[in-house]
Amino acid sequence: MIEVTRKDFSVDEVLGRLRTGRMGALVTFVGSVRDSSGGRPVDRIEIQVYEEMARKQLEAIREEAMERFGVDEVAIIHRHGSLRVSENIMLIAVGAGHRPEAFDACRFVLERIKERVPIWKKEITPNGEFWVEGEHYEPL
Amino acid sequence: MRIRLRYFASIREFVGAAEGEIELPEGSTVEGVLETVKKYHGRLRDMDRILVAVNGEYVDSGTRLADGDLVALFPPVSGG
Repeated sequence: MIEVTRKDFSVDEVLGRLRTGRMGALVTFVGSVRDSSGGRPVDRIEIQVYEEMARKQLEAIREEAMERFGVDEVAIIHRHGSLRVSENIMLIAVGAGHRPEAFDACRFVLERIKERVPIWKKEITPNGEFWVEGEHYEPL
Repeated sequence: MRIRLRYFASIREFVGAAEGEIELPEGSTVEGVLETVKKYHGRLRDMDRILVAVNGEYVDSGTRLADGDLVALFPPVSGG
């Protein structure tokens, strides 16, 4: 299950859809809007996405994770638009027979997303707006 | 040939548009797109790294383009 959406998600609802009797481990990662970045306060963030490409990339990452780690199911939901502090940004949920491959697959999906899925965060702060680009900050 | 362009994140703000179009000679590569766009938008010349996707797939700057291709230019990503 892959979703790129403005809407919030419920972790329980996603796990309910994902879960089967084969799974002894369900690992979830939730990304959340933090109230600071590099020591600066953050009021909210805006997320921009190249939607068609992001969907394709997320689908490829999901398939790669399932094949590489032998997990049963991977769900990825990434939000875009304007998000306030403490709102959900992203959910990765992995269902597998056992915990080692579930944790490994979840971490793999997260790192791949950060590396190659065309999504960008802009931090809206009291001192201005800053794009987060890779590990760098580009002041406008 | 006609190349369709899409810009994201800071590049969209530097260019002042989400999309555009340019006319390039047959046989042009991604490098030709980057040179042309940088000529018109100086801020892009100062960027360390610009990622390029053609029709939704990552490519390198030597990739040859075809008429009607959709070329997206964007900075390193920061999702997750």
